[in-house]
Amino acid sequence: MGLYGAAALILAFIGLLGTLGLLPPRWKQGGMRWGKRLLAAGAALLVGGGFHVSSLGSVEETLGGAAWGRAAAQQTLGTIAVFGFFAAAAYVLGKRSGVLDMGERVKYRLLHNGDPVDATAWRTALPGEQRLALIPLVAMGVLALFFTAGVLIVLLRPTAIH
Amino acid sequence: MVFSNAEGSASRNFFLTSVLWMAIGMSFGLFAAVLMIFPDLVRNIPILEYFTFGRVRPVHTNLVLFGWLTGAYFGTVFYMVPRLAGTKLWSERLGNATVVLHNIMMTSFAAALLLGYNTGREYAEQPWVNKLLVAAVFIMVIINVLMTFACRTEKELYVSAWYFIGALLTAPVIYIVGNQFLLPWNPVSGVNDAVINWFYGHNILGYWFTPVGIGAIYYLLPKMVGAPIWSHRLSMIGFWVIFFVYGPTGAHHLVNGPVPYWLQTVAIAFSVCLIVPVWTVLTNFYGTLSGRWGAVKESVPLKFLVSAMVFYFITCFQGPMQSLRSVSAITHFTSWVVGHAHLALLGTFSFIMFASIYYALPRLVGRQIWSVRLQEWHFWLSLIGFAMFFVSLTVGGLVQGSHWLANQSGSFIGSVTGQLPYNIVRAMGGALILGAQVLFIYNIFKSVTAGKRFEVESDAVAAAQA
Repeated sequence: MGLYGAAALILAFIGLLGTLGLLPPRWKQGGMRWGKRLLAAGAALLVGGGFHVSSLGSVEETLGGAAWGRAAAQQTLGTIAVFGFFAAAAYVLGKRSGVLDMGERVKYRLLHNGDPVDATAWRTALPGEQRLALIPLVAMGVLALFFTAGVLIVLLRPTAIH
Repeated sequence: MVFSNAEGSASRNFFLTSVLWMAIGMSFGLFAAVLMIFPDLVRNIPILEYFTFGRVRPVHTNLVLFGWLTGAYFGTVFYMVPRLAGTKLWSERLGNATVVLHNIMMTSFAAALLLGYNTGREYAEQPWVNKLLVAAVFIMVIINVLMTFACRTEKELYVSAWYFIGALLTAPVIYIVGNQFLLPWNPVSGVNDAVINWFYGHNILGYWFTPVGIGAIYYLLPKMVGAPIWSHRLSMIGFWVIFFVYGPTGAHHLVNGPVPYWLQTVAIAFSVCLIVPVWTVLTNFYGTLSGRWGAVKESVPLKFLVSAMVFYFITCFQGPMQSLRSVSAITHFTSWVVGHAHLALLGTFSFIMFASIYYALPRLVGRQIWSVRLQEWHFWLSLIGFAMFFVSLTVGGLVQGSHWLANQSGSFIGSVTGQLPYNIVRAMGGALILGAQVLFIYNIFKSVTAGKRFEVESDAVAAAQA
């Protein structure tokens, strides 16, 4: 499920950024055109993957059996139904109240709300400083690898069970 | 005086009292870490019988969660909400009364736990009378904040406002339901009580600590770099996803336990889905900082925020991973989980609160931070100490899990004594962290009493924004 979930999330998140027009300029047009399809693909992968994994990983493993049906239906369909209901309700209420149509302009108001910005806000960027972004990005990558490697080592090493 | 109506006084008082609870709470934490190295330290010493691990540990968790972090959160909310709403806080007097009640509550918390009153429920150890105080404090804050928004002049709600309102409306519900409706007896017991306990224990993170922390970032970051957040729409999507997805995740604390299989699976699935809101926050954070990274070199609060984002990513990378059954089989009940909890509450949300206090307090008291050098020491000692802390806990946890997997009928005590090196590094890291906070508290109180006048750069603001 981890593989299905990871693939689904990556597709869906790229699709989300594409739909909102937030991809880098080079991919912006393509993102806006394909974004919703990527979102749908991610959702389909998540649901389909859930059914597939339910058939493999559940205690009741016989595909098509009544017990499998209970596990798959309860765990997957039930989750989707509850989640989908609340998401739809929130969307409808939000659309009616107008909050979903709220544009980006509200974010500019924060800078003019009477609370003075910090002195660092006026600092001119010097060449090469963008590379500082690599420090936290590399840190995240290293730490993620460290945790994943640690878990995999423990999971995959031969264990002696007495 | 304690019920002052002066503008900003409630926020300031919450900040100043919360850092004191932080010092006390973290001291108990360090003592608990020392007890894990010297378990017989307080044995047969009459007065110190109150300071056994079983009492010290919940005092630590309660004081840092409710005294420090929640207190700082109230201070942050009381600072930011008026500025988001375009009006004054509805009642500074009520806010200051809340400060007083909060401090009475925390004193009662510590006393009850040290005297041995403990319900045995994680983060809900308090006797029911103290829990009524928590509900009262939240109700006072909710009234004050909602009335401020009701009187607002700024009609559109920025994302931070959504997060704060969402947190204040959901957290009390979670607290009341998760503490069995604050009744003096427990109507539900056994495994079902464990399900309710972890509905509360995890969702208090997702509906209180996470949204207020994220809301604070969305306020602070634009103020520190002089640029609006990259995408308000993306931030709102993150908000709605958090509030819908977090609820069912609580049972991931009970994976592989005697709870219904379907409940565990639902919790795991939703825990994985939590990756989405994290990515929205991180995308917005890096998008906003793009082209402005030089500011990080000169601003300690920004350093804290950048570090907090790294730890937030790691927390939400570990979380979905460790909710999986196969991973949970290794990590559950080990030090890994302790490291994970500290990644969230200390590495992420406490770091955000340090930035919040450094930003807000000078504006509240009209004085600059007394020593930039002490700020730097605070940051670097906190970061290095915390890195030692969570790495040792994570590695130690994996060693524990590996040992238990390999020796299921073998010597348990071997896995305990084998943790000694990791516990030593953990205690050293904890000592560095506590030392850093002592510098922080000293700097804060010197700023309030002897800092240089804080000047609003209004001309520079006008010129740059023209």
